[in-house]
Amino acid sequence: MKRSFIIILIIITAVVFYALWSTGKLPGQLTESEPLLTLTATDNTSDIEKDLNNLTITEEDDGFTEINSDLNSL
Amino acid sequence: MKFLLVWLVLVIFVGNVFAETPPSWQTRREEVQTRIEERREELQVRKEERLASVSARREEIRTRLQAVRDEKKLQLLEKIEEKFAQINQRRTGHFLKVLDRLREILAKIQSRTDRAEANGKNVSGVDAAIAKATAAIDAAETAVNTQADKVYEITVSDETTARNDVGALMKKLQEDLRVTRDWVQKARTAVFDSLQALVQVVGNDGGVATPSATPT
Repeated sequence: MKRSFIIILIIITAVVFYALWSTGKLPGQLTESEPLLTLTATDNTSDIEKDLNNLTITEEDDGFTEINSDLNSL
Repeated sequence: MKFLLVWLVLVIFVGNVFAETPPSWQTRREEVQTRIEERREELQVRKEERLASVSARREEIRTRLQAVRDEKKLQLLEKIEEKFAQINQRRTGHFLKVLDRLREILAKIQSRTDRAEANGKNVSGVDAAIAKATAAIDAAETAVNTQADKVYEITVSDETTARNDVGALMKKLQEDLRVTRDWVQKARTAVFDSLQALVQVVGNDGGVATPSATPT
């Protein structure tokens, strides 16, 4: 009884840990930026154009919004 | 029979030649990717060094924030400083990815230019634009690496002004990242100019080339 309780506890801990890890929410974990779209297959100008238009430089970071709300607690 | 055999050998030979020779842009792309991989390894080392310094800073932050008596506020300040480092890491990581991609796109423009030159076109204008784009990407990469090495340390001399001090530091990080982003944007525009120069020489192949200089 006690043994199965410990096993269940370990499984729950592992699931929670994995969920936090996969979403980058573990304390001190550095999350990666969004991946870029795959390059097109040829070097035709129309494909190069698509590659350039697909290339987005993201404007802001959500982290600043979090810090703004943290600032209210200071 | 002999004629058929000769044809068969010829077909196999030609097939092998084509099978073993990838398109020139792919060869260029592989070269670019090798260089990118080398740089990534260097960056990984720098990233590990930065992470090590973050852990070291975590220990000395308490000394820096001696003026803060409230334990909750102290923990919050530690958390915010860590978030500054994370944001800087994430944003500069994104910028480096964009620059790597710009190098890959430029390799495509170069290989298409080589084909045009082989077909007797005058590509001097495109070559000049490609050289400018390469320089712009290099300059942007230097700016991004400089930004990535920056450390945003919270210093609080008075608990009552902590909010303003941290707010000012956040604005500084936002402004620094905006300036760095401008470097990347300039590199993107330079690659866009190379494509425009290429389109002027070879026209549009496979569609209407109307690239946007402004990222979405």
